Amino acid sequence: MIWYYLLLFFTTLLTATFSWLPKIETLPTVLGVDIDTQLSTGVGMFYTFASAVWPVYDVFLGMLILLTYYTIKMVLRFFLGHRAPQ
Amino acid sequence: MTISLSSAKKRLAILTVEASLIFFAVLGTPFFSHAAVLYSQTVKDTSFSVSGVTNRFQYLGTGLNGLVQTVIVNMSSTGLPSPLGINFSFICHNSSAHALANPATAECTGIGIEQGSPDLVSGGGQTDITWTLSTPFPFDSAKFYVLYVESSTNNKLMWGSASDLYAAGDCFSTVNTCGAVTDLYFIIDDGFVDTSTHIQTVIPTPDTTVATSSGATFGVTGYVSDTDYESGMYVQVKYAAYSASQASVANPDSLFTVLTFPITSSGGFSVSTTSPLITAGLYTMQTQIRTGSWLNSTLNFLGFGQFANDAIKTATSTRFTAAHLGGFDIFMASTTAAIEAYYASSTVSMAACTDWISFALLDCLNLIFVPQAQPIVAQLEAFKNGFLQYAPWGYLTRVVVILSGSSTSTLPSFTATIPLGSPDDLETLTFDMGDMIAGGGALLNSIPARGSALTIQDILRPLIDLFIALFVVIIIVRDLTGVGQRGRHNIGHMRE
Repeated sequence: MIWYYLLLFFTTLLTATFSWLPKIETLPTVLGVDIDTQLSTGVGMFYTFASAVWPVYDVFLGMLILLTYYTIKMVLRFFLGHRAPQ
Repeated sequence: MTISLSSAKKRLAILTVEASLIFFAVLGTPFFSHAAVLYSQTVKDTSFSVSGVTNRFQYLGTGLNGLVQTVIVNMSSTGLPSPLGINFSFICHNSSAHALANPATAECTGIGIEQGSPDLVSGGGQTDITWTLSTPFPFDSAKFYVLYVESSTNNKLMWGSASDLYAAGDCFSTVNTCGAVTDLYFIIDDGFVDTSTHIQTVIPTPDTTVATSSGATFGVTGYVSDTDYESGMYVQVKYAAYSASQASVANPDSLFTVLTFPITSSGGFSVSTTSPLITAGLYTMQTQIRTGSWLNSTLNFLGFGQFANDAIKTATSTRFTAAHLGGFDIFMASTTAAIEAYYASSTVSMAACTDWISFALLDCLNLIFVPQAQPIVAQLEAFKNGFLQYAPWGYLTRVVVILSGSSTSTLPSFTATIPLGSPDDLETLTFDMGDMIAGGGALLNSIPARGSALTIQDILRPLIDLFIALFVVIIIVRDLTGVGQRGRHNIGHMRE
């Protein structure tokens, strides 16, 4: 309950504070190119390719895990500064 | 140079915080939405007669509408106590099954039993004893009703003729005889309902304040009489900030938001929808029941819509105030609702912490410290759909959402025209990338290993997965421990 309440507190506080900003639900169209559709289609094509060629998919998963690790590490550095594990 | 590096690091760190929050929040649960439900009523002028059944209750069934105003009773007995009071109960059930199993036990709350005791003079047959209900009883057409009759002294009265209802225990013990209700009518009177074409209620309620952060519910209930009803009728709701009605612009109508609801039959109607309120403050709302006509349709079709003038059957003009909720209001409302929802979904009762009798330390600690998956996921989803969607970081959120999706797209196909011998002898070949990759993948995955029932994929995939996993783990361990990165800090110092 405590963790939930903390998460709820920060979520509602941040959402309410920035509620005056416009919501972004799709990527914009630039020079007639619908970036949202193009990116969605491109990623969908990659998944089609990866679903048939499994080594590509497994390597992609490994890259995602590494990307997540680096992201968490950078977040810790942001909050902890020099006290973060190097 | 140092300042520049520091600034860049901060920007990078902020960006990564955003990216990380997105990763944590990209967990899917659907939006929750709600819709307003309005009371609907169909007016009928009908009377029901129940008689000839040897029972003290009658199954009335479903589909009853309107208000019960009057009960008319015919009695047939020569031995009833005097004076005699009887109770009538319209017992409400949610289903016919419950009504059959427990006819005398009301299942519905809020609307169900209406009881009273009209004093009837005993002795001899009595006809057309009219009992007017002090409060008309409203039927809900979706409910199943049972009409239950008994004497006010808890002795039983029976339906049917006096000669065939002497069951044990059902008679008046004091006089050792049984009375009978031979006929009973209850009249659903439309005297309380206006059957002219009119607007009954509008939402938002006139002269009230609507608390909203984005939009409000707009609704209309009313009635269209048979004589007024025409095909193509509709309800039009127009609303705008009150200043719009005073605006000196060329076309004030352009400042109004117009909602249209078709009316498909005569009788009662109830319509509603949600619509945004852009600004806070006083609003004017104009509600009209209008008729479309073939002439207006033709004028609109020909582009002369400005000459079309739909007839207005009836109209109202009301005002309401929109009060936008501030951030603190939103926070308090959502927090309270969310905490209550958390308690409701919790497998551990709050009584484990708060009640002296049922106090349980482990359950209480569980409730306080162990997060439940579903509310946490829902909250992360709310975080993603709320804060993380705001500009400018909403663009990054959208990119991550697309990248983390699982839907597939058809690969493009292309054609090539190849001259075979002469310029006129051309062959067109079509290459379907989807088929090619699917075929290649199937071929790749089905190559059998020599001397084994397994395929190459079966054998190699675990090894490759292991290699990738080891590679990832080594990279992470190397990064954490610094093994193999001895020269990195020296290079950094040299730069600084």
